[in-house]
Amino acid sequence: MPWTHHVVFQLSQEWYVLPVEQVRAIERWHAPTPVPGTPPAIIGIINQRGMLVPVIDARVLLNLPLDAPTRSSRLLFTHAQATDFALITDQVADMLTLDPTSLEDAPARASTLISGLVMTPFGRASMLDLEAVLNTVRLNY
Amino acid sequence: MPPDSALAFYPVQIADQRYAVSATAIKAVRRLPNVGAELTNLHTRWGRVPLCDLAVWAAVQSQAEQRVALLLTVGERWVGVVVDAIADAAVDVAAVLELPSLIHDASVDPTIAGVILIDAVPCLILDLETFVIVHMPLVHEDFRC
Repeated sequence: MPWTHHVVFQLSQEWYVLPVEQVRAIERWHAPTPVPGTPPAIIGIINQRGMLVPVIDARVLLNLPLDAPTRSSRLLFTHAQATDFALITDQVADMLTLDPTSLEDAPARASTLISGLVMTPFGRASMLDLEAVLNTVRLNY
Repeated sequence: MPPDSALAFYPVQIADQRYAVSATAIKAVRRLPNVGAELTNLHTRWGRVPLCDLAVWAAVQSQAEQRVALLLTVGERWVGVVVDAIADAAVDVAAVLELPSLIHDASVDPTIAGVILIDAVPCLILDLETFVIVHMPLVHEDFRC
């Protein structure tokens, strides 16, 4: 398999990566419009260049602390299962080229949202499985 | 009130959240003091009008010193919903947007009838008649408050 580009980002002090093909845009944090009645992981909707996009807080699904947004917070606009959505992140650190053979299996006790582990200059990072994120959000309906 | 228009909306404020209601839905507006407790009805020239606080529905805490009752009719009955503020002027929009499919598929309250953009920020449209039918059924069928 070829080396692939990944975006490295942080959720509550922990590092995560996503293949760059799954990332459409990165924007500064601006508060989404909450929609009453949605699962807790969907914190609202946002207007991204004329398109309404749901914003998911994966920290809720990963049982991570929900720190308030800061100047470093970013929205990561992604796409999976024919669905556009944004992830709130505590910061987006870099884009890295990763050797796919360096991807390790996620430990058995890891969240089902993690498809593997990879070493980055920032430390060990988890590969976030966006399809699993969406499936988990839909299960919470 | 400005001329009726299906695509004219009044922005309304509930705590730190902004919603929109159709300009054709509201028959009258009454200012209310924020007494710190939920007002359940209002005496008007149309009789005693039952009120429902949209801050309770939205699960937010109102900090406004003065609040506003939006009065509307459902069938032949007058009812009111309480918000923190309503804009003086309606906003004309070219189109009502649908909620994204990920949210539309969820069990979203039927009160939410769509989205408009105000200053590029999504603003949920509240269908007040649906709200009354769904959340104030006693009021709708047989007024007892």
